[in-house]
Amino acid sequence: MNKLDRGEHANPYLAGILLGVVLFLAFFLTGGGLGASGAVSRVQIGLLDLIAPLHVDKNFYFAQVAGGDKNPWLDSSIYMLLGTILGGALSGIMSKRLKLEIFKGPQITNNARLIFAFIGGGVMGWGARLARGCTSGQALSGGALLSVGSWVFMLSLFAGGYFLAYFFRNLWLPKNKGGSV
Amino acid sequence: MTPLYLNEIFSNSWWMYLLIGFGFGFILEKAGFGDSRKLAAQFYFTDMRVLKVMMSAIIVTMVLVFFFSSIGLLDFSKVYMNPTFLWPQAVGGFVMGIGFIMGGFCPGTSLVGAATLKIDALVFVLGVLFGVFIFGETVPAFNDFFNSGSYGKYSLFDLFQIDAGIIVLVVFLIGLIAFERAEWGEKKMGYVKSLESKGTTRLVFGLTGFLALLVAVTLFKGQPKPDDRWAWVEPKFGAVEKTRDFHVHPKEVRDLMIDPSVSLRMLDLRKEKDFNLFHIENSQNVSLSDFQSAKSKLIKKMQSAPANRVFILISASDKDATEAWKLLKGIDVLNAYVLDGGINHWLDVFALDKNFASLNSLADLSEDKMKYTFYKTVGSSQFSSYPIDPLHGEHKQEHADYVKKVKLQSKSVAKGGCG
Repeated sequence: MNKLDRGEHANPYLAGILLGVVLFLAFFLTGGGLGASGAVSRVQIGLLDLIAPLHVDKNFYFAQVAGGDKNPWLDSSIYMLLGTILGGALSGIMSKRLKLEIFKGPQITNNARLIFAFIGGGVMGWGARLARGCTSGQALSGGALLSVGSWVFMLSLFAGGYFLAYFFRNLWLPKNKGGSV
Repeated sequence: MTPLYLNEIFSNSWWMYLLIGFGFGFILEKAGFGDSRKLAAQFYFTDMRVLKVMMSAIIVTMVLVFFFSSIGLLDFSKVYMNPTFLWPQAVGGFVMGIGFIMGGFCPGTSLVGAATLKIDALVFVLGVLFGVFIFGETVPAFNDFFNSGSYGKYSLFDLFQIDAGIIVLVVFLIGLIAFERAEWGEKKMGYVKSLESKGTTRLVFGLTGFLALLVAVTLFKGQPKPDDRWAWVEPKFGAVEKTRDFHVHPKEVRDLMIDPSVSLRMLDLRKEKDFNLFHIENSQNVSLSDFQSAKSKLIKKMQSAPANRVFILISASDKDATEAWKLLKGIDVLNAYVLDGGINHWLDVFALDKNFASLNSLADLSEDKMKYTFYKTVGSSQFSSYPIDPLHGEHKQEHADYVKKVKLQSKSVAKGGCG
């Protein structure tokens, strides 16, 4: 793979094509697509089940994953989650990007970045469960199968992002560009 | 060609999911998606990487899936497709867009960001854990909305009622236009790109050409029709006309009519004229052509029927009904059966008095024709249309003098990665 040179980001089209082949293989070999938020939700419910099993049993949404004797950790999505982390880590090591650091726009402090990362993650986690899937499970997997709901989801997601991008421009853009967007 | 059903081999292997996840994570990181700045840049038009990677991945998967389906190696009906819940998906998507611009990641990319020790990604993952927890705690309050706009497995080619290949072509072309616009936009915004080698560019163009070829084949071949799909299962069920495993005796159908554990639907394939002369009560007049198109309303309804639904196919003898049964077997409609001997046999068994019809010894039964001649139109007004003695409604089982054939089967539910 000389196209994926060390230390650089891959050509986006080539990366997309390879990602498409992986997603196709997921459908062809397992009958299902890719996903991330489902597994993260299982991790959350699994942790909650360790702390407060009775509470899990009482909430129907949690109970369908971990109620009674159900084991939230034994699921294909958990293996996919582990694989995703391992794959990301290996690529990071190979490209010398495995480094403890914070990426942020030039205008904000580290603390502000982390606070917005937490809030954004929270909003996204909540939205992903409402939409029954995230960018991977809905937009990529459902989009490739031409699911109506997935395309509606994808368009809404970009609409939401573009709609609010202006208001959050200081999070990401340098000062001189902030006003011109 | 017959589908390979590789999912039956691999869908229970944990290492397969690990491997697929590995490829997913590796490519996301390599594409630069462990870096929140690259992701957020999409929304300021400075780096269109997100669009390029996502759209090309969607196109490649789409083309491969529908190409393999058109040549018969992949059974599309066995691939898990997210069910459509229109309103929660629209609102959830919009909410996620807001989260995206605030947090700089989506759940999948935050995992690879965290895997390469980006602290903002780790904090984002904690945020997601918190968000899904809050969702679980709050969803009981808006459960009706969470389940609203439910259309089941609903695809764009169902929506537009056209061949999947045409939608594939349109999405492919929209993708190419979007890529061209993205390149143009990036140049205009003055985004400086790392130099791409000529070899990479050539490879990408070459692969795009190859995909265009697959799109053309997909369009030309079309998606499998019920006939093609029957050919897939013929080795398994081809002997049914001899074994008659799915041909149900009239008395069993009669008993099913009052069986509270099944929801019975009787579909009568005879001509409207014959149907009007006499039919079984609550049976519905349909035609064989309703079964020959995978897009017919009847087929859609049958595929989304509740698990306890039993379909009985009825014709004059049972030739047409058996043909329809084969087409249903091909598209995996469970719990479909044929009334053994059709209406002719039904009348033999139940129309004891036959005051409205008489046997016509000249009828050609090989042509699936009625062997009774009717004196008058009786519809479903006679006892023989609903041969259940009101005083002895519970008479079943005790003297069941037939071989029971109907066994309720339920589908094993395919799972998705993001469910």
